[in-house]
Amino acid sequence: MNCQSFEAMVIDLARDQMMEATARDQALAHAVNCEMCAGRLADEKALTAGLRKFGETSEAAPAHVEASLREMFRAMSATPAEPVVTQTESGSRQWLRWAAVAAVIVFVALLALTATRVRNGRTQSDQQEANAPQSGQPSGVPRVDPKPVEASHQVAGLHQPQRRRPIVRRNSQRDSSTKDRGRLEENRSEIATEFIPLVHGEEMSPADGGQLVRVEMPRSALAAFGLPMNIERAGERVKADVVFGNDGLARAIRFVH
Amino acid sequence: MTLPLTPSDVDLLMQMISGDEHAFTALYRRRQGGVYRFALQMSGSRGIAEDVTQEVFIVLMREAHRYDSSRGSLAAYLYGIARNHVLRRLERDRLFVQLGDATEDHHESGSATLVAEGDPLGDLTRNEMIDEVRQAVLALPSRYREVVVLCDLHEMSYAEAAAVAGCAVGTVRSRLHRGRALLVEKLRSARSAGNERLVNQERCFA
Repeated sequence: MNCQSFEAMVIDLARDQMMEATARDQALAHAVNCEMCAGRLADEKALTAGLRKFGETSEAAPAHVEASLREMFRAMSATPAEPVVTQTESGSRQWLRWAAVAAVIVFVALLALTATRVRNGRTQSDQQEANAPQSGQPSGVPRVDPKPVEASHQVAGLHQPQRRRPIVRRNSQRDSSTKDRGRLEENRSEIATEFIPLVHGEEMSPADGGQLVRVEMPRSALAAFGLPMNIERAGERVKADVVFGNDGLARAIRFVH
Repeated sequence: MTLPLTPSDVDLLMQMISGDEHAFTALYRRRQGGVYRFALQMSGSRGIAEDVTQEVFIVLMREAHRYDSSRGSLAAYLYGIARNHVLRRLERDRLFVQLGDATEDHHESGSATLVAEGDPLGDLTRNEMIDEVRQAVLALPSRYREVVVLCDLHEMSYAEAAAVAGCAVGTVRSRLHRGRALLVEKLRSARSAGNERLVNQERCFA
């Protein structure tokens, strides 16, 4: 054993720590032969003795510390119910407050959902009614002036299907909003003639009201209104918007491409 | 068959949690001395030691359920709380005592004579040298001081000290080695240069 190895063990030797007996014997033998390491061991032993002497002082906390702690313990043991109850009450009150807020939010959401469904139901029933097959053959002189449908919707006195506002996307309404969006896109791409009056001598005032119904009819009907028609496509069908008055009679028609 | 005469710390703690004041008192009386001395030896102030002792047992009253016996003894748990409070208090008060400075509580020995007659390391067993050792310990940096106090003054094992200090056993060993070397230097520096014994010269590191 050299001095470096001894240095690693000197503290444990001085503190009488457990170690291998052979290592202890070798270290002690080295200290016998090396004066400096013997002095180092003596210093460490002296330091250990001094530290232990210092550590043996039997000082303790003053009695008033124990008294105050016991009083505090009694107070904490005697009053656990009240603070806990108080905290529970305040917690429950807070919980009730939040529950009330949540209930109001749910109620408002349900109201909004119900109103939206009712409005959708009305619109769908209106459309179903408007899409019902109508009869009545037109007559008159047509004048073809293609223009976008939305521009031609500005017919006085017509009850036009109103374009819906964008609907907030919700799972329950995703289908209907998708259909609406598709229908709107279809309308934007349509070209229609001007309305051709079907009843001569009668003009519809705005107060008369009426309904606009989308129908399909044979392409040959175009010829009946003096519109050009490809004879080879006479078997195909063509879309048309028919204006019905409140009396149920068709008042005007336009063809849509 | 013999029944244990004294309940264990954990038994007393369980009774204390259930509201038994006698159990709390017994536990306090059993452990307050070590906690108080640790705080006193770390801080050098009786006021701080009293405050820390009180805080340690207040924490025990309030958070006794947080003690996990699988992680160490209750004594180590209390020492750990005391260590945290002492270090926090020292950090707050900047009460690092320098060697040779008069401390607020332990100046009664009037140790203006840090230089003892003869070899101070040889005379450490004398009561009059205890004050020098105390001041030397207080002059150590806190990371070395705590392992010296735990291992040498409270005779804890390296593992117990590591549990209190929250570090590895190897760290405790190296800090203890360094701390004791600093103590020797501080005590030796108090000696007159003529009497100093040169220990580290002529060592055979080959």
